Amino acid sequence: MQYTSAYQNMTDKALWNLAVKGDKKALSVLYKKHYELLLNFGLKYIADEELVKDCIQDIFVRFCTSSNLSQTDYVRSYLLTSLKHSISDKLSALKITEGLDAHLFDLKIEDSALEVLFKNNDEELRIGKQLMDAYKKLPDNQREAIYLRYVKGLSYKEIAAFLDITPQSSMNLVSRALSGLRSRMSLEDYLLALALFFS
Amino acid sequence: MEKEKLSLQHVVKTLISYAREQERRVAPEELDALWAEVEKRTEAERRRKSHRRIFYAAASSAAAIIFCAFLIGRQYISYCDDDSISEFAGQTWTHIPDGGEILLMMPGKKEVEVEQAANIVHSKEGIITVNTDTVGIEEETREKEVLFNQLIIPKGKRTYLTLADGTRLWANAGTRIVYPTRFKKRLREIYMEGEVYLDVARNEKAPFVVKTNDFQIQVLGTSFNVSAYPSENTASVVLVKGSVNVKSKGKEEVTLAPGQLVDIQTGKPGTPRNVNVEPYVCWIRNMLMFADEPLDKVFKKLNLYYGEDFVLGPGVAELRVSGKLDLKEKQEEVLHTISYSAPVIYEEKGGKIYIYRK
Repeated sequence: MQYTSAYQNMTDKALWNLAVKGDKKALSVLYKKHYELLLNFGLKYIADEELVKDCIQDIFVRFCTSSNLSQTDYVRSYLLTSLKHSISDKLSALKITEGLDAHLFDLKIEDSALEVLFKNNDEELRIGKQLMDAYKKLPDNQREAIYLRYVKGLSYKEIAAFLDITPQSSMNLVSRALSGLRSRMSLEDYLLALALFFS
Repeated sequence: MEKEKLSLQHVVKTLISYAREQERRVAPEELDALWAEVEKRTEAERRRKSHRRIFYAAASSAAAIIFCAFLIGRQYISYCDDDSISEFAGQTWTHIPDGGEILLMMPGKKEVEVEQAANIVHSKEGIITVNTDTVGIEEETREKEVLFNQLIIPKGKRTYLTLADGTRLWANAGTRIVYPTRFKKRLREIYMEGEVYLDVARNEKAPFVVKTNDFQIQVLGTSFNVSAYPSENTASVVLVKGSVNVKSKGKEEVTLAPGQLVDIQTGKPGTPRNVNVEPYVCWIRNMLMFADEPLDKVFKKLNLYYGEDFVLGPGVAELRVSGKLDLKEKQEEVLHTISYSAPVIYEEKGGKIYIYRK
């Protein structure tokens, strides 16, 4: 596989620019690089692995056959947006409405898992449970923002491009989510926000 | 307060890293396979689109129909010598693996692992069997849509393939064959790398074309052997009976008579010469024949057949041998035969076989 070396050190943006010019190998590198991100993101949307995988294939087949791919500065955001649209298109074509609105971006950290994670510290276990309860009560888009920011490590700018808002609003969204968490917790108020930001 | 802050930070960090660990992972091999599927679908999509464009144009207006008639005419011509099969072949595989199982890949179906020396048959009705098991049925495809099957034979393996038109192929180790799920009406076309012996079913209305990376062979009905390993710089075609026409990429053509061989070097065919065809085709009966040939050539072949690495010590490669090797025998016995007829000894060490001069 001689091509990997030449493409491996390029930024997503550089790869995408090549893809826009019709370079299929650049697309394949982006595909392999971000497949896990897309799959996991999709699974947070709908827990149907086959459907999510089909949608990922669909969007890349479309990129490969499209003669005018649009330019983007935020490739990951563009991929995520495309996948999100593809999933909701497919679901509406299949007339599936359930599953989409409820429990989006549920992190699926059960109490039993928390008990194992914090088995030596009751105080931490209590905080952990409170945090997860608070997280579950957040609106969907705020959970989505927290997931992308902290689990997937996207920047505010990328989150902003994905949600099609300004970076400032995306920061606001994340901090609103955090203060939402804060107000839902009985203790720790502002410290939580600090902790999350500096983690 | 300070302590609470610390424990909260710790909880958050633990939760985030736990959430990260819970994320689904995808192995590199799976990614490669998934991407191959994207490429396959892209190819099919492109084909479908280009045909649809013509259909829409024809339906729109009278003026468009004239334009379109021209387009269809052109399309028809390019269709005849369109090279979608080589294009597909170029996009779908980079190298044939050294080991592993024989793979039969069919569009829209699961990959099938095929056992060594199995008999793969595509019936006229579109039923695909391996030995006696049915592994698939070709569905009616949209007219003009061309999809390809692919057969990969790694080192150390061999298989037999019967195509829907009755043509039989013996595929040697280290070979890949690409063929359409359905032949076109007026043209039967396959693509190959490696070594294949073909017994082509006669059909004057639909010539049979074998394409390789840098030449193609056109026949009506005949038996011949093609050896075109990308790793070797000389390919060859040997005709057993009938007549074949070999055309290089540079459009140079030669016609072979039975018993003739032509070498193709860097895409240029040489002058056909008369040979004893037996050494070139006896591999289909699991035999190898050499007439005064250097040992490195012998071991290269054995490497293909057994998938084993042979390391030749100084002075071994140039030794010349003549004779027959029966590959139905165990490798051990074959090596014994060689060490009996040439002044060499062999030794197995660390998964490789070393050959030294006596």
